[in-house]
Amino acid sequence: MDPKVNGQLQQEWSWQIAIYLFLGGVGGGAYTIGAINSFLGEHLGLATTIGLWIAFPALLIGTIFLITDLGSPSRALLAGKKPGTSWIARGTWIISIFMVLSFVHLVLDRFTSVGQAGGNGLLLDVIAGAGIVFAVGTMAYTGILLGASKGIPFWRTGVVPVVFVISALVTGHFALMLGMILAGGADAAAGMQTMALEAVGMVVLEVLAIFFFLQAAYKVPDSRESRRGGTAAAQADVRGRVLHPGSGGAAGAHGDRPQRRRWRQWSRGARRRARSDRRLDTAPGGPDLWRVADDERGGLQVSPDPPAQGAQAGYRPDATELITGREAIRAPSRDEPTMGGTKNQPDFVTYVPAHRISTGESSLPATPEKVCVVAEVPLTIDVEGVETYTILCTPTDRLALAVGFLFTEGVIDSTADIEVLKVCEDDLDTIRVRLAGNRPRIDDAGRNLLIVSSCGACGSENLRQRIEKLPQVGDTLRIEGDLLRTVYFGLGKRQGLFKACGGTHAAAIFDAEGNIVSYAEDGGRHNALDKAIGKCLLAGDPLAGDLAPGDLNFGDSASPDPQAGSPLAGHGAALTCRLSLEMVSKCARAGIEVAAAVSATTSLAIDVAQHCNITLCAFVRETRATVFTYPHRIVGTSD
Amino acid sequence: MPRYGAVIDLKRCYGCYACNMACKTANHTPPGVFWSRVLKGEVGTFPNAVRQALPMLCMQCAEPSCMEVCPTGATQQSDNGIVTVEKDLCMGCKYCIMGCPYGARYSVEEWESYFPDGLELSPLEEFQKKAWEEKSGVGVATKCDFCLDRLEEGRETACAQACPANARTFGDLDDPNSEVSILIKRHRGQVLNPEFGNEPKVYYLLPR
Repeated sequence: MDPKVNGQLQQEWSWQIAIYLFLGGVGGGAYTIGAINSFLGEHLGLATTIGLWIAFPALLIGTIFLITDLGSPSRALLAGKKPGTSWIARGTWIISIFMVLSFVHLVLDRFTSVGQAGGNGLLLDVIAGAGIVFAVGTMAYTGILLGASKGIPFWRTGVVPVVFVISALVTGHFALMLGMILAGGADAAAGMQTMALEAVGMVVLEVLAIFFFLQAAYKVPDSRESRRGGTAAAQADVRGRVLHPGSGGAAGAHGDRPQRRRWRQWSRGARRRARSDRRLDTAPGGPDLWRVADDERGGLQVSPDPPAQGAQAGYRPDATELITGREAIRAPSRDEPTMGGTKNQPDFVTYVPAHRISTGESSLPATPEKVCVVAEVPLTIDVEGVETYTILCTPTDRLALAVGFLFTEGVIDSTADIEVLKVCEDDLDTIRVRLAGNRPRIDDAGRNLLIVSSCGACGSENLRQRIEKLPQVGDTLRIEGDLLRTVYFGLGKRQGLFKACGGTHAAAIFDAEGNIVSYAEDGGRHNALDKAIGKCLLAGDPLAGDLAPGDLNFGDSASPDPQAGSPLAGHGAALTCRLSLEMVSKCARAGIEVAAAVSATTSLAIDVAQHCNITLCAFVRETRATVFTYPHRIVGTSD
Repeated sequence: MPRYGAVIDLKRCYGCYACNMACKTANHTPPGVFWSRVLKGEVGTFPNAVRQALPMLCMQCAEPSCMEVCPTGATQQSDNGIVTVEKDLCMGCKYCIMGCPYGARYSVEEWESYFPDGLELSPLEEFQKKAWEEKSGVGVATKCDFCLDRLEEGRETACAQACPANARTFGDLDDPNSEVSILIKRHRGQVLNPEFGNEPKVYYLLPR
């Protein structure tokens, strides 16, 4: 058999089954009507006899056809083994008992004195009563059997057994009438008129039954969906089988019209998903989900559990660990009381109820789900006596953000300029900074404003002037092209927040060996870079308190000198965003020699990079990158 | 005891039919029998319509309707959840073929040659026919068993091994750290036609 697509016919059950269906129906119907007639009146005794003569032989021949259709007819005796669930097994018993009863009835009625006048009428009545029960069973069970076939939606209606019983009665009735005409005689003539009337009634019933069957069969897909409460969000429709009962027998006309149906291939039913979720123990977005990182090939690796609290104090650059281990991120600091949130639910992500809709097929209903959303909060940096800056950011690494921001904005030149740096105890979203010597360090006055995207020149009136004042970076870093790939691979592995929520940029500072010495994520790309730079500035600085540079793994040789003008000389920055003016100028302030980014760059950024002696790499992808300025730092491109 | 299941990533499957052929080779299935097959269809409505391949195999349902309708008890479910056919008990009534909503079952009484009428079976066909008769039996219902013999040896199923796109993953659904469990959790694996209530154990990762 070919794969069952695009309208195959039912091919497994062949014509033998159809013949059985017809003969079984005729036999059961003829017997039933004949036996009922025997209850009704003596003058119809001929009908009873003819019914008996039809029933047993029809059943016998039909059963032989059934057996010949079996793949392994020698095992036919196994058929009744499991009547608990299988309608074929139940039917085997029903047919067998009915055949025995009809045979006994026939023998008693015709070949013994029991059936003659004056014989034991009660015994015959009992047998006839039982026979009617099993005859109806024989007529109905095939319909139930077909209705239980999940593979053939055309059959899956409750009307099928009704159609089978009525069809069997009609065919049995006409068989009886035919037999009576052939037998002739006065009895036959007397009964004929009644039977003709009955026949008309039955044909009407049959037509009605087939009408209801067709209506039910053609409505199945829709009604099935409405029963499921509109959860049938089929993602793809692959045409199902054209369904054909493969029988034209007792059931008559319902079988010969192939029906094309859209077979819902899968559904995103909420009930169903809830069940599978439960089984797999997947609370949506459960923390264990995030400890899974893709390896290069797209396979899976599960990162080990986060280290216990205190095992590695300090800033946690990896949001994966930030989320799973709240204790670890709340690295106790003399300046940083607490960051809000709870131990179980970090304050920088929230779960928000939402609806997932399909944009592919408009008929699909929305499915509710809980989505992890990254937080965006205003962070106020209050520099005493200078300015108050308010930044919209992701509330992680706030102190590093504050320091990095002040540094790249030119408010401070090094952490030595900061006397006090602490989180306001009344308002956790405020960082209070007091500069050493209390001297304003900024060139442009009047920059008290809400900074949505700190561009390194916010509020600055004279952009050109500021660019001219940007320092020239050193020229000590030499890297090879594949080092960028290593760095971005490491960066990707650390982007836990991005994997969980999306919508965050990441920035990493790397050294000449490709080690990531500092890493940060934030909803804003400037903030991400500020955080990464701020972490480097704070490394080893007493301001950071216990925020020891544990994970800021500067090598022995390349330890940045926080007092120098270019604290990150000999380092590069890897960014996930585009390289615009402000990103490059931040890099220039920090002395970063190579600025790399996944996305594009701008003309102004190239100008600034040219001015500041920065190597500008945009479009850093798995196999390529584009170098715009000073390619000599990247080995192999200088000549 | 593991509870075997599979994950098929529809984003990765591009419908090359390698699984079909690997399955036929490994299990010596006769012409026309595809324990592992690939449906092709169009998804979505214009202008957002794409061609989508849908690999199908036995879903190894937790509530198999084929087992329910089997009159002889030949269809059985082992402890590891795999639904098998006891070939010596099956009488070939083909009711399970009607009962399976996923079309995973086949019954063949005669090995038809791949070649035109009148030609004898090739030696390869003879070999396959013999292996088929030994493994699955003639005139009885047959179905995918997740390459049970290979699984017991700790090897991949034939279709997963052959899949060039790495779209198929088999494993233990009860183990929360198995690759299948993680894939289902991460990518919200769905089963086909859950309304049938069969609780299939083959999950699909939807393309969109």
